[in-house]
Parts: sequence; structure tokens; C-alpha cells
Amino acid sequence: MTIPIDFGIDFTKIGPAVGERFPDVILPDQHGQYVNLHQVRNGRRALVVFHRSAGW
Amino acid sequence: MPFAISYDAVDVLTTFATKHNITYTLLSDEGSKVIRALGLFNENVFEHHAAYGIPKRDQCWGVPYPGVFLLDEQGYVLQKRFQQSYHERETGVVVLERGFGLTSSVRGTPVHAQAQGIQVAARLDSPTYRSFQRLWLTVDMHIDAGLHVYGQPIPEGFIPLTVEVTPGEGLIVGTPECAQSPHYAPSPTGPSGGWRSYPWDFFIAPPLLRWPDA
Repeated sequence: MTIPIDFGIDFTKIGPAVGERFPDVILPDQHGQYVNLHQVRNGRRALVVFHRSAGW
Repeated sequence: MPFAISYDAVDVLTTFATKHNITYTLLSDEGSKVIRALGLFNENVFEHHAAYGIPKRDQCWGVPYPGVFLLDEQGYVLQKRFQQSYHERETGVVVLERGFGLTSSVRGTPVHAQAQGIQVAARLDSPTYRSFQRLWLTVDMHIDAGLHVYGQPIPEGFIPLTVEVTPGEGLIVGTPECAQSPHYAPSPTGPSGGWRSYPWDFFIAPPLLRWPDA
């Protein structure tokens, strides 16, 4: 087995593509307050990290 | 500004943020609705775990493919950074430097070397290493005016430039990137009608990954 395994996932086809507008996201934060990502960004660049879990 | 999205409930994020002193925004996508709507839901998570010999755990259903999106001022996607292995993580330094073209204040300390006509500085993204981190080893090179760097194919009789990494236990060296330094700006003026070469800055950067059991 070669590590790391190449699953052949084509990430250009997974999630919003480069050049597309990132969709509107409204979700509660760690304080339970709803956050509108683009509104809070307020014209600034942003980094959006998707991670597996903060619980395990 | 950073946002981190996971399928965890708010109280899980509260505990995590408190424990690790996280002040940036963690977002709770409980039920993975946004993860699914954006097409990031990993339907193959059990197969991916099985391939690494990890037993099936129901709680893993709902996770996204881990990775990052870099957005510009208007909210358009500038870059996506994902890895085939869900274990692997890049550093914040690489996101700032290769993603946004900034210079990070926490990059590794460079080591310098030079020979006639060439100066070399090599550094890692970070001075420390965490398991499964993908660190880039950036080798910056400055070549004096009058010397040339050719691309492929290499003219006959020339010696290709190589970067060799000494093997280490569990160390995996990935495919290097090579490019002109983003800090390089060619002079707009010069004598016309003749060949002229400018000082040239470029880098070669192979990614390094340490896999504990490899």
C-alpha cells in the first residue's frame, strides 16, 4: 500500500469551483450567534476551512 | 478573515474554542446541510477509512472532504486546497504565502548557501512539525545577470537543477512546484536589439509529509 493513498478524487468537481462566487452561508458560531459569512466578511478576503470534527 | 465549518453542534464548538483559545469563527453545520448543499459531503468516508484500516464508526457519517477555500474581496473562489488523504493538512503559512501572496511572520528560518553567480535560501513553512502536516520546503534561488535558467527540454550538455531531500523515517517527498518568485519584477527598460538577461529569482518547492507508520 502506497501512503498516502491516492483515491483519485477530482477536487475541481467537489465544492464550489475556482472563479465561482462562494455561496451564501448562514450558520451559528461557537457562541450560538448566527453568522452570515459574506456579511461578516464585509468586503475582506476570507479563508473558509472545512474540517471533519472538533469533537473527535 | 478565517471561518471554520464542521458538522459539530454549537456546544462542541464552544468547548473546543475554549480549550484551544480559538477566537476566530467556528461555524456549526449540524446535520451537514451546508456541507451537502455545497457538494463537500464525503459519501465515501467509510471506504476511505477502511482503506487505511480504520473500523467503521457511524459518527463519521456527515463529514466533509477537509480542505480550504480562499475567497477574494467580492467573495469569489480564488483557490481551493484539498488533499487526497484526509489526514493531511497544510500550514497557515502556505495559505498566506501561496494562496494570498503575503509574507508570513511565522515561516521557518532560512538556511543560506551561495556559489558563483547564485544565492540560495531554503526554508520550511514552519519551524515546528505536527503529525500529517504537509510542509513545503521552499528553495529560493537568485541568479545573477548573465546566467540563464532553461525550462524543459534541457539543452544538450547542460546539467539539470535538482533539489534532493535526505531520506528520513516516514518522510514522504511530494511533487515539487517550480516558479518564478512572485517578488521578482523584470526591469521594463533595457538596451533594444540585443540579448539581455536580468537577475532572476525563482523557487523550487517539494512538499514534505511525515507519515508516522510509513
